[in-house]
Amino acid sequence: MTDISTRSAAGGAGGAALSLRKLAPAVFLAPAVLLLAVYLLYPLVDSFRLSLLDWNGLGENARYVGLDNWKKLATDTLFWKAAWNNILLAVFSVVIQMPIAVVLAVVLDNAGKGSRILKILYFLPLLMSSVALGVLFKYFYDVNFGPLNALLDYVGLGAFAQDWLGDTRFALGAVIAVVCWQYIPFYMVLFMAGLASFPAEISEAAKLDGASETTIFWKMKLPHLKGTFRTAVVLSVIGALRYFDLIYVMTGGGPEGASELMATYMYRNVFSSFQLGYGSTVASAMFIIVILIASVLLRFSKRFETEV
Amino acid sequence: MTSITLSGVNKSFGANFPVIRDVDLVIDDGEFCVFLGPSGCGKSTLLRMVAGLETAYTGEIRIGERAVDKVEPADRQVAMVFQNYALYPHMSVYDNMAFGLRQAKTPKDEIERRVKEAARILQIEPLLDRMPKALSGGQRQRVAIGRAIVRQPKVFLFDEPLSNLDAALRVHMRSEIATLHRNFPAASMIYVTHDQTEAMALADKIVLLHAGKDMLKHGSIAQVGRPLDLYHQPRNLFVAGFLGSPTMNFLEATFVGQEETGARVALKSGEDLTVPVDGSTLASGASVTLGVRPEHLAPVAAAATQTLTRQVRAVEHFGEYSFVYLDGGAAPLIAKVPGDGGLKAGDSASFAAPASCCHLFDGDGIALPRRDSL
Repeated sequence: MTDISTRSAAGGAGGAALSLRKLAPAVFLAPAVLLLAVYLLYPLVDSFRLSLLDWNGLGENARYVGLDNWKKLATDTLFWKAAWNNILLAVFSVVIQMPIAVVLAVVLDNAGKGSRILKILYFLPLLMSSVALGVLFKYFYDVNFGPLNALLDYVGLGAFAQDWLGDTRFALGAVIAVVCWQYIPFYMVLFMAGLASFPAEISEAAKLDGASETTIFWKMKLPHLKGTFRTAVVLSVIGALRYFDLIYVMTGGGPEGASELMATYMYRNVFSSFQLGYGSTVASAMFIIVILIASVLLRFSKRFETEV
Repeated sequence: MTSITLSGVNKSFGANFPVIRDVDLVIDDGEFCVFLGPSGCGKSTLLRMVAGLETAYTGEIRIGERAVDKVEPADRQVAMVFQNYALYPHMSVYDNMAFGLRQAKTPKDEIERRVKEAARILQIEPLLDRMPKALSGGQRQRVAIGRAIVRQPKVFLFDEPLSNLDAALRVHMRSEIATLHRNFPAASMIYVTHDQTEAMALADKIVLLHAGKDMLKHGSIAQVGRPLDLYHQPRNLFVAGFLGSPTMNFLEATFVGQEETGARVALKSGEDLTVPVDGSTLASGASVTLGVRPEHLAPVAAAATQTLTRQVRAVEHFGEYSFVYLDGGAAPLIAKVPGDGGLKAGDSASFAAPASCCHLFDGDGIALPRRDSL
């Protein structure tokens, strides 16, 4: 009897220690999981729930409409125009930002001691709030008082002066230019970090082999930056697909939807038109599109990396 | 002509940090020269100066008859093997080896011939299509050497090429580098290491470098010579202490007088010993340092002349030999004895210190001139 009771008591203590050990990870993870659940998972799931309602978001008159909002979205040319604009923003972000960021990174990497001030100057746009930048560039592009048109006038190119943000042909381009200007420093820093990790011995070995600085850049340093490129492209595309604040401040998506993005379209539906149900459908569709494109991009870039 | 001449070479990092001081050195045609020294003595810097990778220095460097101070690294006809291999990570082994030849616009068939020949010598033919990341440390080192070979340089420069390899592979690659030297007898080689075993095994000539205050006081070069010259006839305490493992035993002593057989010194522990050196410049009673290597202390049955008697503190057995740690004098001693030495901790033991194996250094740490040859 004594044997059995002792053994069971020991077993009990061991079992408690074991279950505590099993419980520990859950306890430590709980705060983060809770935060994610409250601020990410719940809104995500609720957006999908709201997308099935016809509701202005204010009263208790919510009406279940099934997939009506989704059917409407499928034929909503404004939404698809906004989605197309997002894709244009993503493509131009990558095409414009990456090469300029690489060039700036290389220039600053080779600039020596004096480059510290330049690095800070180039990094400044990223430190400014998007809303402040939006207001600033709204003034910059102003048809009557903006410095851009004044500059064109000054250099004798007054004929090219435009209503940059009021013309459907130029609005999106004008905003994309600002977005690129704002984010180039971020990618420049990424590429500078990539260049800083390039082993000096490889440059020296190449120099002993007779390679010029240009050859070293194209054949050694640029391939070394492939991993950084992959990260930068994924970040840039995902950022462009979710973009909102600068466009909202500068054009509000106008004129005539010329610079409308999925996020601004969603915002207008929810907070201007008070169509919470349809706005949630736009938000949910935006989520699906971003996830799809990001997955394809990651898979493609991973394959690209393994081929390297 | 593949000789290398350094004349009055000095280098500082910034205004206040001299790293190389007063280097005058000649490395003869086809000679294997090892730069040896403690960390921070500037041995890699000196090598990089020969390569052309360090440019801001005073003095002159010549390769053959040509002063190369203003010559680009690629035009110095040198090839370098780096400590961490420095292979081009995005190129195959073949392309790594062919890269320098392509830059020199060498005809394609000649590139192929040279790369394949080097691959055959280094036994890396099956690896030619592989990327560097798919190679082991030893294989990478061979590729790095192959990349140097294909350029058919006048001078090979090795910057601690074996320090990233494990002990067994290091010994193997060391013999391969010695073979490489035999296969390319016309080329001069400079090899940087802090490992005295590598230096002793490979070098025709060792350049032992000072670091820190010694470098400022005496210049960078502590001693230049054949490995056994440095081992048997160290010029000063630094050289005597740097070469040999375990390090040479140093015992403080007083100069008693010059005798026919050499200088007679009295140790603080009471023993009198004679060292076959010329102490005629010393005054009687002058402080000197006696040096004797652990491997030259031989156990004897009883105390006699030219012996040291001490208490055994500990014995480390390595099979073929043992280290015996001795206490009881003014300073601890180490003796390296064959087998297990038949000693154990607590024993009292006497060791012969043969006069021909003793060294004597004056108050400034400079070796007194020997009267015999070791």
